[in-house]
Amino acid sequence: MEKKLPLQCPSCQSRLKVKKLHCSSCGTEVDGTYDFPLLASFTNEEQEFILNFVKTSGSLKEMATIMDRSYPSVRNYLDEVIEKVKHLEKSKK
Amino acid sequence: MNANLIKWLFRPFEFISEQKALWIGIVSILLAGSLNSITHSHFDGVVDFHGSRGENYSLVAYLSEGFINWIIFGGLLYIAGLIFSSSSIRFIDVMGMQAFARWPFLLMSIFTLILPHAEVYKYLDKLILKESNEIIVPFYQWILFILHGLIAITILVWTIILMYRAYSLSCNIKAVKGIISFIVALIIAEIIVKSLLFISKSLFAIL
Repeated sequence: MEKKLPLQCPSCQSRLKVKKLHCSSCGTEVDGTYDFPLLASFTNEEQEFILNFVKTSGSLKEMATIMDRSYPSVRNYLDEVIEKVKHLEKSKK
Repeated sequence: MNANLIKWLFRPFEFISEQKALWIGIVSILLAGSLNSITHSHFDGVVDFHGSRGENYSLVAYLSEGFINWIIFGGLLYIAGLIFSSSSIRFIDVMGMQAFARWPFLLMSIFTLILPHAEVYKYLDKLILKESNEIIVPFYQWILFILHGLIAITILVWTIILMYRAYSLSCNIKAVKGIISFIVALIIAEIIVKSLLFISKSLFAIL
């Protein structure tokens, strides 16, 4: 069963941070407070979109074929992702 | 109503390619114009349709109406998109989707053919012009006129929704900005189209 990485606190909806990292090979644990990388802040659907965008070398036409959507739909979705990136970068500063 | 059907009736632009949309739109404009040449009806405005008033124009005149409406309105929406959109928009997307958005008008032309009521228009024209009215309208034509009117209004509202959705998606403009720019473009297009159709009918009527 695939587990979804939670990004928001279920209690107060604040952004979660990484507290502990575990190595499954040697059992080492790293304890600290780390921010999620920017890309991890996207939904699974958005991450898949970004990965496909890279794999198609930024071809919106190919993306439209993969997503079975019209070119303007894909372009508009990309614009939304770009806006989200800008918003996340702003909130990190 | 089936969710898939609603999607294709009101939001087809999310799924149809711009080239497919363009060709379906062009074919529907051509077919509608051809049917109008039989019933002598007119698309004498971007979102305007009138039944026969007894005039007789050439086939080219009837065909040109749909194309003039499409090109003028599509062109104005493209300009609106360049001004108001923050996205990089393509001319083919705007024009293709506007062509496709006009396909329900083909149904309007079909219904005009199968619900003939030309005598009603002649009678009403005489009434409006306060001329002596010797036209006898068969009762069934009044029924067809009312039925056609109800169908026409439904198709008109549906087509305007499609045109707005096509504009909103192809130019990535939504909400208040989208609605206002759409309405302004529509009004300007109507003025331009009415003027152009008047000129083209004068030219092609003599061909």
